[in-house]
Parts: sequence; structure tokens; C-alpha cells
Amino acid sequence: MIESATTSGRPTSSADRAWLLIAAGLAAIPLLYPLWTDPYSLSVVRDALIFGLFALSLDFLWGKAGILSFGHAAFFGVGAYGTAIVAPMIGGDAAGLVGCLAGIAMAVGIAVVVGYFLIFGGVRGAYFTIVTLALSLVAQHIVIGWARVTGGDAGLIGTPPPGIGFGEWSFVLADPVSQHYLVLAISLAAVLAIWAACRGQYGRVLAAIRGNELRARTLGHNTGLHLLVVLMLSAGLAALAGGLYAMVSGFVAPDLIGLLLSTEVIVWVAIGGRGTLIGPFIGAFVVLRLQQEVSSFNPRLWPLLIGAFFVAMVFLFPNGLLPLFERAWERMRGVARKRALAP
Amino acid sequence: MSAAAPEPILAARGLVARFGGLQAVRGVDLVLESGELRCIIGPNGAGKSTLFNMVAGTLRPSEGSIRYLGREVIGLPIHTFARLGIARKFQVPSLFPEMPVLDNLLVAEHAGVSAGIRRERAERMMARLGLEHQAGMRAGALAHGQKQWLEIGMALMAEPKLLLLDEPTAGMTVDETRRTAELLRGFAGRLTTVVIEHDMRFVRALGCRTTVMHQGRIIADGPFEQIEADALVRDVYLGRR
Repeated sequence: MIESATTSGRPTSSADRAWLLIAAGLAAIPLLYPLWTDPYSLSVVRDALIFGLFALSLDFLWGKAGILSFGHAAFFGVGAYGTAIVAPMIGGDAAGLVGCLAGIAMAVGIAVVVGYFLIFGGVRGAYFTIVTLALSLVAQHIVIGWARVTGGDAGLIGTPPPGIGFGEWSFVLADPVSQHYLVLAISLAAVLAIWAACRGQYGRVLAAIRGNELRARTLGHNTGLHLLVVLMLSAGLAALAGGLYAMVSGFVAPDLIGLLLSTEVIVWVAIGGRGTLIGPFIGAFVVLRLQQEVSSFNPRLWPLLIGAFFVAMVFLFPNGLLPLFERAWERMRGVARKRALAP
Repeated sequence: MSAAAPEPILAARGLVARFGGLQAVRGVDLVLESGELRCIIGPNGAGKSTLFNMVAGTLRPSEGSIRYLGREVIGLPIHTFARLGIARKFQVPSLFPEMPVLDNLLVAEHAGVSAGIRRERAERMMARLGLEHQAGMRAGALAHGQKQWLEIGMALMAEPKLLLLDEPTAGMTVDETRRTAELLRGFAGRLTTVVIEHDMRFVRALGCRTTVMHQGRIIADGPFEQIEADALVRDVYLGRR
């Protein structure tokens, strides 16, 4: 730490190097996975990656700027439904991507309107979380109620896969392997972009806002504007994940926009480690795998378990599981050091 | 005002702060010349910190006007006050305890200078505050006096024109207090500084014009020697009035 802090210019600290190493190591797994697996298992991993990307969007808002949204599934769902509704109107090879862009634009628009009034109205902490919870409920009700457009409970089938085309030439990612690589490339780009942005002064300002917003404001930072921009980017990224999900799975249903998904994404981030950017992907993988196991045993058990975990988290480890592991790790290192120093 | 007299950097007039039925500040004028060093003293609850809150923009006055560099600033967003060059150290050290010392200084610079210049400035500041060996240390782990210095350093990072220090020496040792007085005296003429203090030894060491507040009003104002000799001020401090 000290060594990195005192060298001038842009240092690459040991912590930075460790993070990059872990990120690269973890990226290698999904990169090589298609070599030895079947298309079905690959599609499961691909979908988990998409949910990891969704969790990353929440981690940017919650882990970096310190604001917890309980309505993030609304942004994911708007991206998914936007894609599924707009794409068939467009037609052609690029329909899916155009629909996805429309979904992202809608989600960012909602984030700007809702975020403007909440953030500049001074709504923070638990109040922000509760209002965004309502956002999730409203979105779910609209999707179920407006069946003529959204397909109601049944959802919409037939969202085209991602692709582009010019006249005769076309390039459509229709198979799980190419879709998997598309999702992986987008995920990596998003992780690296957020990581790079948060390394310098911008990350420091966000950390200051997270720690003590009023103090950050008295230091001359327009904290409201910073938070609104982070919320917009986070909503846009969530909608991108939703749009990707609609395109690769080919269908959307109300469970992509509901309260359960909003809760699950918080749990993924909490388990993976808030603010770590890689953690949310790990959290999504681990929890989705667990969900598969539990649901094959008894499908009704899962919401109960997630709910119980959530309550335990609020009371026992509000900062997520990572600090617990970090503390255990520090203690182990401390013991090891003492042993090494002992004659 | 004669043509030779420079315009005051700050001219606050008729400031009133009401909280429900309570008047914390009841009609205070505070005029500061550029480069001046000023102390504000007074017993607890006199309205000193409330006055700071209004000048620093975190509290909107119920009445009155604040002209800073010839411009009315009441109603501007909080972050704008800092951008205009008003920096403030809070009474309770309010740095970012989870962030390293160096980052606390870096984040206190808001003007958008290049990363290299920002870093250079932070390193110079750490050397000046004697914190160069604590650069990577969590700010929360610093000793109390060092925290106070770090916060003064944070206030100075953006090169302010008006520095407001709320009890900068609270919890400092005698030696630290002396060094703080030296630091502040070094600003004289270059930086307008207002200090709220309780420690009379420190105020004496600063030897500057001193304003005394009591129950929301200014009851005395003048050179410290004169204030020290003032019977009314003594009575207020001893609780006789």
C-alpha cells in the first residue's frame, strides 16, 4: 500500500496487480469452457454470465457509490421486454440489437426521471431502497397487466438472436457457443471499464460519497450529479444484461422484472463481495447453481431460502460475506506471521 | 468606503439562524478583509458553529445576506461554496476513516487539475503536515492531533481563499497546538482564515483580532489583548452572565 501510495505518476499497486490476475484467471474458465462441454450446459453458464453482468450493474451502484436499489430487476426487465417488444417491429438481422438499444434507452430514461427526483430530493439510504422496491413492483404489475403488449403471465416468445446485416451480408449469433463468447466479451469489457474508471480520482470521489456524502459535497463535489450518472450507467448496464438475456434465450417472462429477481441480485452481490466487480459474477454462479440443486429437490423451497438468507444478511452481515472472509484471512496471516517470528 | 480600502472578501450582515422557536444566531455581522486572520471565541452554544455553517453553505440563514467576493452566495448549492474557494474544517474530525491518508488529501481537490499535479500537491501537503510516513495508513488509525492536521490539509488542498477552522486544536497536545498556531500564522496575508477556538493559550499565540459571541450575538470585537482584559467577556466565560 505504502509503496504504491508514495511513487509518483500512475502506479500499479500490488492490489491492482492481484485484482487483474484474479480477473484474468477467472475469465479463463468461461473462455475455455466451450471446449469440453455440451450445448445445454454451455447455455446454463452463458445465462449465469448474463446474470453476473446484471449483478455487476448493481455492484457499481451499491458497491462503488453506496446506494442500494431494490428495484434493479425493473431495469433488467425493461431491457429484456424492450428488446422482446421492439425487435419484432424492426425485423431484419439487426432487430435484436436495435431492440436491445431501445430497451437500454428506456431503462436509462426511467433512471433519469426517478433518480432525479429521488437523488436531488435528498432521498438516501433505506428510503431510496424502499422507493426503488416500489419501482420493481410497479414494473411487474404493468408487465402482467398489459398482456396485449407484454404477453402477460405467459410472456413473449421469439425474440431474435443478436446479429447484424447489410443487404446480402449478415452475421447472426444463433448458436450457444458464439452467444457465450459475445456475453463473455461484453462482461469483460464492462468489468474492465468500471475498474479502470474507479482506479483514479473518480473512484476516490465515489468512495468519499459512499463514506460521507455531505463531507464530499463540502469538499466541492457535486455528489447529486455523480450519483445520478452512476444510477443511469447502472440502469443501462442492467438493461443491456436484460436485452442479452431476451436475445439469447428467445423469450421473456414476468419473473425477469419482479421482486424476487431484485432480491436475488442483491444476494449475488452480497455473497460475491460488494465493490469487488468480479465477486458479483462468482455470487451469481454459486447461487444459481445452488438454486438448481434446491429446486430439483423442491421448487417451493428456493424463495424461502433466499428470503431467510436476506434477513440473516441484514442482521448479521450487512456488508456482505466478503468482510467476514477478509477478517478470517487477516487473522490467519497474523497467526502465520507470529509463528514465523517465533524463535 | 474610501477608494484605497480593498473590498472585503466576506461581508455577512444581519445573519439570523432559527431552529423552530430557538434562535441560535440573532443578527450577526461578520466582515473579513482579504488575508486577515480572525478568531471567534465564546462559550458553548454561543452560535459559533452555526455561523460557520451559514458561511460555508451547509445551513441557509433564516435572515441576512452573505456577500463573498462581491457576490451574494446564499442559496447556492453546497458544493459551489467549496468551488468558490471557501474551505472548512469541521468541529468533529470528519475525514474519510476507511480511506488512506493520501487519498483523503487527493479527494479533497475538486478543481480538476491533472492527476500528476494533484499528487504532487498532496505529497507536499503531507510533508508540510509531517504525515509523509503515514501516506498509506487508514486515516481512521491516525492519532487525534494528526487527524486534525489531515483535515486542515484537506481544506488547503483546493487552495481556498477563505479558510474556516472549527476548533482545530481540540484534543491536541501543547506542542501540537503550538505548531498549529505557527502553521496558521504562516498564512497571514495570503489566506483569509477564521478560527473558532476554546483554548485561550492558542488564541493568544495567534494574537489576532478576536470576535466574542454569546447567546447568538457578538458582544465584543477587537485585538486579543483588549478582549482578554474586557470585564464583560470575563463574566461571560466565568458564567456570571
